[in-house]
Amino acid sequence: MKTLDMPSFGADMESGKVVEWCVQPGQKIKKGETVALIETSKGLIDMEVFEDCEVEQFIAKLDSEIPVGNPIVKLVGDKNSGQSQELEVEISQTEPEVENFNASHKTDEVLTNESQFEHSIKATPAAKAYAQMHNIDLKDCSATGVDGAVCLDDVSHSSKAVPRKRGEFDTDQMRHAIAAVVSKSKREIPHYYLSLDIDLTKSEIWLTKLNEERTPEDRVMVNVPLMCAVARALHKHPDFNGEYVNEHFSHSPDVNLGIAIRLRKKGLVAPAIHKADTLNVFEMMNSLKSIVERSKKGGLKQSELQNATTTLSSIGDRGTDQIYGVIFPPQVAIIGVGKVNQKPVAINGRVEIRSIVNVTLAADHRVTDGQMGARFLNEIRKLLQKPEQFLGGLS
Amino acid sequence: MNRFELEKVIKTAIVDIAPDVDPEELATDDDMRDELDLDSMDFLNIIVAVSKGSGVNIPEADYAQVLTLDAMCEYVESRLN
Repeated sequence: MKTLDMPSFGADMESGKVVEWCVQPGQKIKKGETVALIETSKGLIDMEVFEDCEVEQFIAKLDSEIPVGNPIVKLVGDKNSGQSQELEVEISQTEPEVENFNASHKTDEVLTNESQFEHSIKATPAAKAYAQMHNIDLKDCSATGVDGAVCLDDVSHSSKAVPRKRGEFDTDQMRHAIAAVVSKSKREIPHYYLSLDIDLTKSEIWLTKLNEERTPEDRVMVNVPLMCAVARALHKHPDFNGEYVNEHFSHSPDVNLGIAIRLRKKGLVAPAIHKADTLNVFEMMNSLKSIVERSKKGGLKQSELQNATTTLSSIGDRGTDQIYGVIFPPQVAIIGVGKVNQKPVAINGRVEIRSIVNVTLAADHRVTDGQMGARFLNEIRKLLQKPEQFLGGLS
Repeated sequence: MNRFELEKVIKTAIVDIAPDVDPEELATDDDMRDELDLDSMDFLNIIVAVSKGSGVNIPEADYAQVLTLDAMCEYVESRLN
């Protein structure tokens, strides 16, 4: 017997909610199948299993906040995947659970000094934080906690807390989570920055020819060869592809390229395209379409949100010339791509108009140095001068 | 396909991409990407919808000619007639 625990979908995540079970007790499920929908600050995420198994029993109560690492369902499988741990106690749905909801609050204490409250309402700090995030008035909640206080369960089950649909997210909650991640990054990761202008003309000409005979739904976008180049450069320069944890850097065997995707209403997610270095340009385009669609409409998988080994952030064709990103911990680099501009360039003593894109690197100085970063950026530049190689996968 | 039907195809695609937007309030002679805050994938999805709905394939080289609702409709109408 083993359990599936509430996963972390990012360095900022402390808890999540199971809002829907996608399986039944006694059901046999295959690796990759979705077990439950988890509500997080990034919206609804599909939680999948990583090996064939059978569902034994649900542990988590629907719509209750479950701290990251706590079990949510019991499974019976062939072997321990390492994803879960055996636990003898089931999760408790009482007040101590809220301790992990917001680490900055002392949650075993109900504030009774009524002068601290505008409406003289007793509430646990976790309930207050949740209410603030979801714009819920504590007056509208029942109070079933200790000494008649409003507790986390009261707020999360309040009629004012509207159940989330796929593709929806709470803007305040997401911005709060983003703020936590970028603040942690800037606090803990010594960033260094490099920039390189790359001639994209050959790639553009090649891509225009490639797309000429293709219908719009089969066309490859101009940033896709760039994605292929970045992924393959990461394969060749693994010091930019991995994670830094407990003062130690570990290379990742795979290049799982996180793609920063802007959502309407101030949202931002960065799901990963797995093994991006092995994809040809068509596979990369299909993967990009898939994660963009599911980022905006729901259906992102747990593995896509957890496993990025480096991130690429493109400001877009109507953005700015340059973008310097903030590294998502525990990653050690983020690549920024500006908009493509037509610029005069000296080539063999003559001035020609070329398509130029600025590519930046923000990297963790604990792991790499400027010279290494420069070689990495120049690898991207070299790869983009021979875009025809992106027709095949990386051999 | 007449102008009304063509606009319906485009507006349906817009609602799918930007459910928070009322396409009836879209200024027909303004760049859709700015008006609707569309990224390049969103714009491609509109091109795909128009292609499927009207049968007119807008090549990449002509994207700059179809940035407004009016321009897109006129472009497609001219290729249908």
